[in-house]
Amino acid sequence: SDYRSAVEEEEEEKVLQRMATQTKFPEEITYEILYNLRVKSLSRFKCVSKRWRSIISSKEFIKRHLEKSNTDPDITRHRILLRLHHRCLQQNTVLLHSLRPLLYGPNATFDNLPQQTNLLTRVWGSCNGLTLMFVNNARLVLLNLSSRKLKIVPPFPEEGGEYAPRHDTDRFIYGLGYDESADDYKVVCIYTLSNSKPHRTQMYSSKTDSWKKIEDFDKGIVPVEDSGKFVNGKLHWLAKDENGGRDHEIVALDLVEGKYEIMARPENFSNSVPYQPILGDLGGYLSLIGHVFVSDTAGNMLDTSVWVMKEYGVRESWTKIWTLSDFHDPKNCTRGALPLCFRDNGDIAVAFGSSIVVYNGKNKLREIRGAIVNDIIESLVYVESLVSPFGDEELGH
Amino acid sequence: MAAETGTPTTLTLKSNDDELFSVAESAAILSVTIRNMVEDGCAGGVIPLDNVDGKTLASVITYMNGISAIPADEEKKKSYRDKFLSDKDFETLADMVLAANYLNMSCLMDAVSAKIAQVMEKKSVGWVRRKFGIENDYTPEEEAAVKEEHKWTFEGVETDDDN
Repeated sequence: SDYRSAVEEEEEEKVLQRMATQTKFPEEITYEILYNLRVKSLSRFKCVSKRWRSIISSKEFIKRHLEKSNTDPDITRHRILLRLHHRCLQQNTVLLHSLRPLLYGPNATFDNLPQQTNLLTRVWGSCNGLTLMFVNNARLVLLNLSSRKLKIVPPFPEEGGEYAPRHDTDRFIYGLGYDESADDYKVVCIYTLSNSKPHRTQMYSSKTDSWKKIEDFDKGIVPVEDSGKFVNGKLHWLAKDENGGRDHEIVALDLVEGKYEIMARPENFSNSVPYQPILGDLGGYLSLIGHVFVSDTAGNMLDTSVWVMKEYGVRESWTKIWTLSDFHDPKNCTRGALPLCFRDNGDIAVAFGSSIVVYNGKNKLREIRGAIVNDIIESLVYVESLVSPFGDEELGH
Repeated sequence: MAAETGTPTTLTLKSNDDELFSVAESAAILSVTIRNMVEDGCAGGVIPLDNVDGKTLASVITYMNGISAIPADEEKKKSYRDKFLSDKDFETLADMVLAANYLNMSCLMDAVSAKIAQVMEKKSVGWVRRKFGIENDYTPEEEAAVKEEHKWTFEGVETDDDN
């Protein structure tokens, strides 16, 4: 049997040598080429050979591919998800589109998501290509829209039983972020049971597939009903004084420590009580949309402005980058102006009612893009990645 | 040295099939491999480039001259690179990426890798195996299973006789 194994080894060696000589590129060049491919092609090329499958599935490859998606100056791998309300059909639909042609390309065309994702009922956030959303009003899922891998987030334990992730957004709000030190995607749920104070917090680790109770959300303020915005390793929510007295504050949650803190915000960015300010993530910058009432001869008008924190954590770096002054009746628009994307050169894309508008750095209208017939209910910008919602379990699926 | 005398220095490069090429040192040192030779003082005579054939080297030198003639304007450099690579077929691109790797020219390496990926984007698994010289080491059962798992990624792929 020793002889046989020696023969086998020799055979194996020959096969390896033959492969090495026939292969066109050394492996490091193959890597350089593959980093440039889209997720759909990479998924297909897992069928090329066992080696390619193992390269494309490896942590290191997924990480470098993601880095390229996140840092590409031409934003070629950034995509946008729009949830639309179809007025005639009284139906909601989902559209996916690459971001770049929407900003700079010729006429934008929209491609539909595969049918089942039209069940999507609420988008809670996106991080490194993973998206947290409700489907069918009942299931909270982590979905990679590019690789189409989906994981159901389980319920969490609470006094008196288990709480399935809930859709009543006045009492259950969510956020998705990435804890780099633990290489772990974390879902945070801030909730209140029978409207009692304080708001409790549970944090879900996709690595361990389990929830853990962390510090209560309790700074004398309550979170505004909206998703957490993931910027600079922290999740952010807007919060208000329960009595409506003070300005809104930004509360940041450190995903490593599980601790809350108050984040610097601009002064007087909002004064109009019926219109809630909106917190956003604009391409890695924390942003705020504020509404301010101004009076002129024609009567009361509403100024809508977008603020961006250009240097994270620095109050003075909050900059007003865009203002719409003739915004008479925001109730006509489902959610008013939604900024979609902000670039270093000052360009900003804003979803507004049923159109997408691109402004340049001087707040001048560049172009109205995207002939969307329907109202935009929600929008989300995400990057293409191979990141799996199953974490390390990837190879088992 | 060139700066001191005021005359541009010219280097002579030799391909592995013994073709000789003259190129300005200022353009040639885009290659870290060549720059190191120049700095080590090994560039006095002819610089042999054992891993690059004449056809590919001619193309690389065209690129070196073209890109170094463009002032520091990343947009313009990018559009030059796009134009330079636009009409190249896979075999030429493959030779270029190997040469760029050997010559240690990161800007050319990045551009050619991206271009090859662009060419691959709608290609079949069979096409990739052929062009990359990769042996299919899946058993028929394994291959059927892995294809079934990624079925949706085969939509819109260019038809190919051994798809």
